[in-house]
Amino acid sequence: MNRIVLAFVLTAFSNLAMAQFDRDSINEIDEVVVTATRTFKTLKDVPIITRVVGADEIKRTDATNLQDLLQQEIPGAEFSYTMGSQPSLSFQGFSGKDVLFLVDGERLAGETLDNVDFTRINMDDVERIEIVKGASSSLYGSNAVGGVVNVITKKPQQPWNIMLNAKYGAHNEQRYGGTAAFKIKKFTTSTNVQKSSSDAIDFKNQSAYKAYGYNTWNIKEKLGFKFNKHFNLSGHASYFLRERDYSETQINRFRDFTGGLKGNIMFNYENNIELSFLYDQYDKSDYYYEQYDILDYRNVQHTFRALYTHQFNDDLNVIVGADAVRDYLKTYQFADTCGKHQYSADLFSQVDWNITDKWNAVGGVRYDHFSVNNNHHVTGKLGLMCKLNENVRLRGSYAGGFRAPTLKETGQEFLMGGFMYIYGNKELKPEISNNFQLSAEYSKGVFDFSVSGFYNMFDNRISTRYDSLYFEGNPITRQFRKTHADKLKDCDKRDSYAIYENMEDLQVTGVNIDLKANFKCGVKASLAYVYTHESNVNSGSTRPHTANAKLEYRHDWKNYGFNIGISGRYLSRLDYGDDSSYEDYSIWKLSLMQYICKGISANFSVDNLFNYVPKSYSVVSPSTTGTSFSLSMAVDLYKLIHRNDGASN
Amino acid sequence: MVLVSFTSCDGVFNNLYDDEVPSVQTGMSVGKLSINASEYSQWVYINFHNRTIENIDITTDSVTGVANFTEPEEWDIAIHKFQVKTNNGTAIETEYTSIADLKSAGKLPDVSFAPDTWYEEKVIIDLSGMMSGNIKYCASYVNDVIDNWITSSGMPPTYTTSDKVYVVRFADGSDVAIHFDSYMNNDGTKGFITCSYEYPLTF
Repeated sequence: MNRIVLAFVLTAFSNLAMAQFDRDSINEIDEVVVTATRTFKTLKDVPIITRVVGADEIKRTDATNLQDLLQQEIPGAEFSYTMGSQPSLSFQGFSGKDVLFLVDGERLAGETLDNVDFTRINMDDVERIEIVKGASSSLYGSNAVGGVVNVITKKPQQPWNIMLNAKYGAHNEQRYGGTAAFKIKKFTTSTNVQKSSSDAIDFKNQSAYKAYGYNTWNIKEKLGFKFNKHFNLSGHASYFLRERDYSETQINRFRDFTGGLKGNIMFNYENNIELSFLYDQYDKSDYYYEQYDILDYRNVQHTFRALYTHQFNDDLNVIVGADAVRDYLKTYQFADTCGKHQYSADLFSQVDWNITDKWNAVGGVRYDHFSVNNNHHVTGKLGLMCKLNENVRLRGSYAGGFRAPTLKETGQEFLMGGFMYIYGNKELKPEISNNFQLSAEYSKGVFDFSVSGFYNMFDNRISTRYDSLYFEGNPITRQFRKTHADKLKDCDKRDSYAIYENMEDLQVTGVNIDLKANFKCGVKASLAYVYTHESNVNSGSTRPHTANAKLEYRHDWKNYGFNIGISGRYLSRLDYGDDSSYEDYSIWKLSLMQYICKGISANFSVDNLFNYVPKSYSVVSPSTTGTSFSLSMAVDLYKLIHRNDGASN
Repeated sequence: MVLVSFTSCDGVFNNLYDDEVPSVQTGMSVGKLSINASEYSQWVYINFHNRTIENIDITTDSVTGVANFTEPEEWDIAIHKFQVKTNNGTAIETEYTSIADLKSAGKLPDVSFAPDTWYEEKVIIDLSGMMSGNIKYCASYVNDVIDNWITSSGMPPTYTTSDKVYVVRFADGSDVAIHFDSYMNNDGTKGFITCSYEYPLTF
């Protein structure tokens, strides 16, 4: 059945593409993005391929949080519930720690099993999401090894607006949210509140993995003030709370507090300085018997940044920036209870040069220093783009990436699950990646096509090495014990242990193919395919073939419109060298979005249309229990009242 | 930066949190106990009626080897390492792995409550003479049903817990439901037991 649907999507796609090939481009290549170069450029001018998921697309996916959205939109993105039933990302050879997640260009504090808390990012408040695959450490520093996902939040556009939304779905999933935004002369304010909840999900066919029931609150306030044409100031504060129903007597709580201030001084067209400060505190606690709230994890990050942009002329742009970060981590996983600190500082620069009308080059370099073990790293980047003609763009790039050892990896010392000791290692070196990409993009009329190849070389991958003193050990583990003798001297009675180590190298190679068409008759179609090959097939969690396909049709009358769409993702079988494997699967979603009086939208979705249920759940299987239904509704009061003023849906 | 002055460097809103969960919560019918039963030479006496825990050294007559220590006047169960005895009570093992599941079942399983059994050589109080074959025991009652909550095999021993909920019926006819959550502390010392309970158990 899945193959029939796929064939239908492809056939419809190619027929329509051929029929309307010569129309003007109405695709998204003129959209302005910021992540790849830290300056605003249109998609067609940016030398590193960037994928954009816009507000309307987000609305049609009906995603509540970033996790929901990424797996619907990005080939190969797979979220599973792993140890401790925590969501964990697996993405084209990378895990959650290799992909840098940013909100308006800022990092998120806190992690669980190397994944940021995806539920902190509330899709109701998102304008667009920019995804840059490959390393980007020359601009963003540590963790930008496998890619950067930058979530750009909404800014008030109208004099006033009130937006409300609600959703009801499977497992009693409920979401209620609202935004009140005002733009009065030089002043803007936006207040966003969202509450979501769900019952627990027991996965069929087994197992240790389950998704606990939860309640989540997101509250965010953003303020902006434009003093004059040279100076504007913006600030934000947010509170986040997620409660996970762990047991009858225990609730896991995850809290976050952020506060930020950003000043922008635009001296003239050529010179611009941005100064910012961000405070981000992520706490985890256990709430017992509805009475005692015990903190067992806290990560606090203070980030100061200065970014200077100089525009020499229309063809040459230079940015110079620096960050200073204070990172504090306190966790039950440390032997001492007072927490650990890491101080880091960096300096980076990038030159963006339109050499001729056809050629553009971007080069950058960055130096990062970390206080733990005096780690430091220099990263570089060089990107070249050639516009062969109006329709064809060729890109080639080298980008360096690195991930500095975290406070967790250097300082851990605890008994995991009552059976194994985990030891941090202060001698760890940063993980390093070298990323090469080549791509060709063809845009004409309604039609976009791109093909790109990538090659990633990783050195010093950080992972844990397991051992037990009850066994004689092979030469590697004997050497390992010798190296870590000081750690192990007290643990001869302990059953087994693991220590963080820099591991063997890894290479990831692959090809991306993207096909998009956006017809004036209201039909939109897209197909994205990725082939990924990981050199270490025994330990990786990379499915070699992944694809996402989407076919939509939209039609609007004066006070009513609808968009019907079918979208699906396919992930191929994953084989390990030891004969174990995970089955391939595809999951399809049918959505009907209705637009009433321009300001009201209602969505009905059937997810997992063909009722796929994994034979067993593991770190690489989708967290689905079969076909499910959801209903949602959103009201945009400004558009509703001004529906006859020419506002679009 | 205005915000800096409001933020303590290592975090704010510390008053949201409590220091610790009291090991015995007076007045609550459900709770969690943290018990240090790691010493061979001690019984830990637990009184669910007034929510108290008391560690008492086991002493024996040097000549006869008979126990000569004084037990508390009132107690319900006592734990020594992993062994459990009751104060003239009886016990059953249920099929449930959480007290909530037992409560959802709406009634106790239809099995007979078992009393304690007297053992001359089961409760080890001194292992120091083990290599010369001289292990010291203290004759005592032990409840064989609850004794199944943890078993060991091999050397060095690998411990396996049953993960079951046990119900103890006291001499006054009241019941407590107990689930043993963990048998060691973060340092790996065996005998630091954490368990959940509900007393009095009602449906």
